[in-house]
Amino acid sequence: MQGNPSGNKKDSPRGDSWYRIAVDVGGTFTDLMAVDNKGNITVSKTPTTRDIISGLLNAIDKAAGELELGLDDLLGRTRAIVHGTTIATNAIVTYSGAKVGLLTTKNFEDILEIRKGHKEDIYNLTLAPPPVLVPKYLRLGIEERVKWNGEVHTRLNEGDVVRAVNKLKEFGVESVAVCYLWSFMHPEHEKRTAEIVRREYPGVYTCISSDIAPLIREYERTSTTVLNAYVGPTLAGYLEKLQQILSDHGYKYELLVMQANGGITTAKIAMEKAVNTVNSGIAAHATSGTLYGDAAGYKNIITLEMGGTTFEVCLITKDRGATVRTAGEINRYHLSIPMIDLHTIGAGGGSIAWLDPLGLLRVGPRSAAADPGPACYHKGGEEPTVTDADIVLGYLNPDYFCGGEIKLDAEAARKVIKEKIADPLGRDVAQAASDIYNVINSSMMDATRVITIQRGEDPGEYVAVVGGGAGPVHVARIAAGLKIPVAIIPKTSSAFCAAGMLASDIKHDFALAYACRTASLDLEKMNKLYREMEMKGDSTLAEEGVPESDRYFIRSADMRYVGQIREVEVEVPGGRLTKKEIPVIEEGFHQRHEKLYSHRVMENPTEIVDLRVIAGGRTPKLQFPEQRAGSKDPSRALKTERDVFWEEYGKHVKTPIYDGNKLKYGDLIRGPAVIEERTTTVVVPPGYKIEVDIHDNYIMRIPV
Amino acid sequence: MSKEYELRIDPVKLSIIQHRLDMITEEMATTMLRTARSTVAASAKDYSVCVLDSGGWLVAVKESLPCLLWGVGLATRNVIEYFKGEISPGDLILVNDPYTIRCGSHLNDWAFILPVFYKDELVFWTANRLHQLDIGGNVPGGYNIFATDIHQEGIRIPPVKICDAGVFRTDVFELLLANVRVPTQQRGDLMAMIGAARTGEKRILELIEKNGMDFMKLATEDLLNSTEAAMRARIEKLPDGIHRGETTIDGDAFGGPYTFRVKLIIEGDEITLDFSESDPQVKGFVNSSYNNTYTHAFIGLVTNVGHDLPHNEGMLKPLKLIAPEGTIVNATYPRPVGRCTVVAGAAILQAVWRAMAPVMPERSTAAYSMGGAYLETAGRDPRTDEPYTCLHFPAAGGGGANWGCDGWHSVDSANTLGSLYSGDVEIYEFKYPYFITRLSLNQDSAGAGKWRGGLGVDYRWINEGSEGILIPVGDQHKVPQPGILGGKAAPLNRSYLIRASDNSKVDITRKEIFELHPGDMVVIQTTGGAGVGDPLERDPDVVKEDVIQERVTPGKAKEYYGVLFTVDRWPYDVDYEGTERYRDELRKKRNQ
Repeated sequence: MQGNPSGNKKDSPRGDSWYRIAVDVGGTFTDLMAVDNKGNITVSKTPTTRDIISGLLNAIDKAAGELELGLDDLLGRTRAIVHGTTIATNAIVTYSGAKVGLLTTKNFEDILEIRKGHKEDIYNLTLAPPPVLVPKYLRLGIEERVKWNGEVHTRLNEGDVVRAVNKLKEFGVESVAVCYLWSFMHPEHEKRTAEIVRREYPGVYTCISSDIAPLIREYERTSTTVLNAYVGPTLAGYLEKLQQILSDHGYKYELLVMQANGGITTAKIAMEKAVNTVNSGIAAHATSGTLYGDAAGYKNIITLEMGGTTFEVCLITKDRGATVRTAGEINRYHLSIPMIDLHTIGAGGGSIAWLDPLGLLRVGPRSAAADPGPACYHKGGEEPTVTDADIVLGYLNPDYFCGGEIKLDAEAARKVIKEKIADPLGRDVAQAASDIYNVINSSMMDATRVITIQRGEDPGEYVAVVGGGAGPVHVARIAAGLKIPVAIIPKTSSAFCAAGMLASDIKHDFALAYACRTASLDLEKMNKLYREMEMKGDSTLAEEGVPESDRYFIRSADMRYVGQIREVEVEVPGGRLTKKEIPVIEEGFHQRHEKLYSHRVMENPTEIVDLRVIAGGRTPKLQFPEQRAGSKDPSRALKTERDVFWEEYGKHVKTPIYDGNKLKYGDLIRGPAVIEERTTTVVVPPGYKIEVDIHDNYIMRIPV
Repeated sequence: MSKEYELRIDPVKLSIIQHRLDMITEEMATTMLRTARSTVAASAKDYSVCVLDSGGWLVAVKESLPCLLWGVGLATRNVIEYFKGEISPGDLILVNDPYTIRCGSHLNDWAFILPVFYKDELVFWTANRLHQLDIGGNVPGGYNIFATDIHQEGIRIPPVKICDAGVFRTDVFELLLANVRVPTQQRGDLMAMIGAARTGEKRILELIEKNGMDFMKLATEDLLNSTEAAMRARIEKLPDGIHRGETTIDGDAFGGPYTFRVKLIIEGDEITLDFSESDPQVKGFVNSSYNNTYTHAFIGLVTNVGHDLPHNEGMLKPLKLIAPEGTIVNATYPRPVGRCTVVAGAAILQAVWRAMAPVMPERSTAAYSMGGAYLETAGRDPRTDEPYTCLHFPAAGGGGANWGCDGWHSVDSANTLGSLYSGDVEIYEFKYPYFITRLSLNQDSAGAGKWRGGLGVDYRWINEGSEGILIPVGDQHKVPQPGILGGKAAPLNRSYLIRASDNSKVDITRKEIFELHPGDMVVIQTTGGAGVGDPLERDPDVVKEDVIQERVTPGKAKEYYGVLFTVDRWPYDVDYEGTERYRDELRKKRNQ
């Protein structure tokens, strides 16, 4: 990804400066952040288009305009484009993935459909199972079998594979997934199968479970591999096309893609491990949080991003960074890949308020999304939403939503809340709007508790970093409820994830099964397995052009008490492991277990289940330029006053409204106040203080 | 109580408290799941967790196996009575016995019940129940099909303070572990349970600190009372009347079939479930204990009348249970009850569902397969030379169809409502000395209907362990479980083993304890759920899809659904006219 600078453009207003760009394509908006070699940042925002690519080019073009460059000129000067895409997620959520054929161990063809026989919502008698992504006639059994210890019980019947592939070819499948029992202990059968598939059916997208998710539990492994095959062809087609168009416009490097694990990779590898690009975009929470936290001098971070439909929250601790979970779910399909531990709930500006059978107020998870949108959008929405409540409360300015690009109808908001919520509950409209505001805040607090308190972390020891258009409207109360003392609110909170992508390292995960009691570890074997993974990582990074000095490796092991079924991930030191390190690793496990589950069992022997390596490639760091100090007096930015509802007073009171564009480093505002930015609004309740810091971000102090 | 219950605290604050209590139970469940040792707990999730008010009524119950859950409230109230108020801060109570004032369901389900004290006042309880891998008794695992009294099933634990005013009774704990066969695993499981109860306590105290106890008291009362009022309002809307439902099971090692009968009486805003007409108690382990009957009878109404109300015990207050002592639904000491949570439980639940079907057809559910982990095995694992007992969750049958929706595959018997995980082939092979040769859907195993049942599975394995035993604990080998509103029964469960020594085939559907030798192969073909609605009304295109997906053979498509094809192989073209004609013919035949 590094290379020679493109030719000097002496006559250009930008001289010989060069750029790195991140583009985060969301459902409603495409957000871009560009940074030049001196650290200057440019942000642009355009509506996402149906074909994605033209909207993405629009965003680059808009940024180029701001920089007084042509599109091709900017791309010619760009040395890295990092892309956050919802292609994989959308294909799964809208069932628009490829036609997949699945090869399994014979007599285990139905593992995918049996789904471990688990129903998610048991009291909902009429809940149907999700559609099976591969129909029975495309799930073909192959004669082969490996045993629990990796020994071959039945050799691969290559004739079976040839016959199966020809059948799949007849059916016109677009991709082939291979998942055999115990393949993570002995991948040779899957590897050979893939060779035969490629030979017999050239050009078909192929993936094997020992590459995609080499871990115990056949259902999870199959599901993950099938999802990879399901999104692979679409993602590959899209990335190839995008790469081509970008290079037609002068971009000379390989396109980079954000992955679920919070790292980036080249488009080429993303095409192979396509499923790793689910949550691409929001996975940038991890680096974004660290980035803004570092800039303001904080290490323990909770990121809170509230957009139109969803609320995402992520925990970053001083010693461990963001947690990476080894499994998750998407649209009710299981996924066993390392994913940044984000908790997502249906809570956003579009979340709908409703009364349950007991007459209790609920908000979400259903959303009016962008279409029809909240009632105040006047696009046919007839349900009261959070945005409607925010308008009634005076937090949002109906004439300055998205910098005035979208006009909102305050009367429609008031009417729908009155009819649907206030009247049935027998309270006035302002109180009902405040209730909606409180209930959605409470849901977001609970979501935040899931990844803090439930992980044994006290939110009071953390600082919030806020993203998304709606985040700054709600964060004050969320933070107060969780006793979070400080919230960092980037002025460009909607480009929050794009910023994270620019700061993300290249990252590849490797895992190998190695089941062994800690007391009888074979050190030689363990060293060999770690080395194997690190060499694989090293060559991948080399292929991606990461200089040797920027490559690094992080080891860990999944451990448990003998007899336990679930594992806990434990850090393992690098280098050659000797007898000395074993007790350290084991004590690390006891400590982690105790922290997570409030007990340890010293007399119980421990065992290792899997070994893991993260291979990383450092990228240039993003640094926010320092601003010049202002006069500390914000009155120059005072725009007007309007009636705003504050819980403390139980009513609307005249409140100063500030123009965020005119606020400068050092300015301090005491609540109650509202600050209007082009893409967001910062709500500062009575008793809260907010100031602009040296990097042009807001720092809010919460009275806790 | 008036229909319109007036909340005493702000509804918004109440919904926040309710949410927090749910989150607390979820956190308790996570602690259990992640730290337990047995596949029963960690893989199958065969446990329940809950929070109760000071009087022992369930106020929050998220993430729980229903058949282990709803009786915990009754157990806690009985524990309060048992100790006559002598409960102190730092106590922790363990109980499994069904006969000491109706605390337990069967002896396998051990419950930890923890009083939560705030400023020296008992304010809440947290509790959890977990199916134990072994409980002593004559047979490893606890499913003793030959037991004729409860002492042959395992160790009885009346309410005992395992922690007494903060002092952990190591002596009692070790006494209990000395009476089970796999103490190492069970020690870990019991620690996980205690950890979960303590986690709940910690979080509740935080919640009280924040909101004040007076407020919390009002909130829990409001939760229970408003849920009760809503349940009453719903029952009020149902027409008064008497409905009957019954389930017949194969029986036990000493006889059968036996029938569980319910008379469901809707009167005003209350429903009475009267099981007086059920068969008398029996000699073998399929009797139900009162606590178990309480649980399953009421699940039958929670799932339809109250499915979308908050899940707390306010919902059960308008419901009355009549289960006379000495009947199969309320056995008296010392009758065995080992299999009650599965077979009797499902039978009771399904009897209530049948009785409710004409009242609320849109929420009706047909019978699930009667199996429930189906068989238990025990022996030694030569790889570790340690003893094991194994419940075979992968051998799960299919779920019953619902009005508007086909049943789920392989979700096991009705008492779980699908919350169990059936288990992984690789985890089973890793933990047990078995080589699994097949796990696939069992074609044509579902009951037909406008909505069909889910499929059972074909599960086969070879014993690579030492000599051991095999205990079939399933049912539905003789008596099929009927469909609802015109839906059909599923076929019967089938199972056999093939002896390595002489290739002979041994039927293992009989209630017997079989020897398991090295190399023996076990074959289990579980059945699916029953159907809802007339199969001749099933959309022919949906039947075609089932044929394409190999859930139904073309032959059965014709026999069960009257669907004919012009092209009888992939991609199968439906002969719509022929189908209509043939269906008419079948209807005529039916009416004759």
